[in-house]
Amino acid sequence: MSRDTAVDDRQLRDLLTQLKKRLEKGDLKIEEVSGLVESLAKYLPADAKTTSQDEKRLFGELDELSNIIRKMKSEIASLRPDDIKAEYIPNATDELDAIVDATAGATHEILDAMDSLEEFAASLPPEQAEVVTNATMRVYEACNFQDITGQRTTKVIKALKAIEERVEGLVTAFGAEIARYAEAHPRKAKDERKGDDALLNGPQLEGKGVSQADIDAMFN
Amino acid sequence: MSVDPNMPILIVDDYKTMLRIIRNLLRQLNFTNIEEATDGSMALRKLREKPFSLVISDWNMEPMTGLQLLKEVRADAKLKDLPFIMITAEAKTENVVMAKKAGVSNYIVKPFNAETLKGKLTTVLGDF
Repeated sequence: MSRDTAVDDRQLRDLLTQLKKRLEKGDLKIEEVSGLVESLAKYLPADAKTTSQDEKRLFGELDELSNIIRKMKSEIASLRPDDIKAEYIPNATDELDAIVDATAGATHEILDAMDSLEEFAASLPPEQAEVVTNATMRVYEACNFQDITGQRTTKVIKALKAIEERVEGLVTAFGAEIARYAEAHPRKAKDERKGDDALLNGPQLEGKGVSQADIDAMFN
Repeated sequence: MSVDPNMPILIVDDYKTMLRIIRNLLRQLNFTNIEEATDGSMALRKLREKPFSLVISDWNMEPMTGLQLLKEVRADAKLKDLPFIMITAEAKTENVVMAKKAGVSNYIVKPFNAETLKGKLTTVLGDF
């Protein structure tokens, strides 16, 4: 494209002014940067003899910047942030929720057992009752852990949600690249383990595994 | 000053397990008259309904936090002198400073044991 005309100069100025304004306002989305750089690169003179050293350097930099952005977009797409958002983070938060529920349930069971022991202690001679009471007090103290682990887990879940929001931003920004990458690299089976290894999946979330009743039915 | 083991105590926590632990520990320290609330607003309602001699509250609750509850208590002419102990996992200096500024009587960091609880109760209420 020639930029010998006043029209080209004006278009370039308008483009730069618009870019400056958007940068100042902070409303330039990352997915637009590559396109803008390419628009600017269109003003690269066809005839290198007509350009100054500064212009050559500027357009060279723009060209390089455009290539870097293209490469970065392709690398981000290859990370498959859509998978992170759709699968890994929700799975992680579900597992953490399950930990909190399981420890809360276990703690209540422990406390119920301690209540029974305390009632029983009331029927014992004083010296024996004191031993039981001291032991139950230590159990109550130790059960503090459940509140603390619950609060710590909630903090981790919040951090995961914050990561999820940022990943969602990436998925929105690079949706087209991700779709192209996914089409060019069809996903293999999610779990590539085979044989006995494929059977090691750890505890299942509520409702995901088979119940003991289901298992018993298989043996009857 | 002697402490009446039958004095009414309000414990506030949105975590039922914690309410149960505090209640049991208080019971083992011979306190028998214990009521529960699961958040600041419920606690405030109870405090305005009948007299209590001590509040033991968690900080991190919704919709009304323990700190907001403390401020409401201190701003209420009838409740302003009520002993108020915060039991919380919030262990940053600024939390303690803020609670002190709001007029907390004492501050216990979770996890805590019966000895710590007894020590703070003695500091706030006197020997028992």
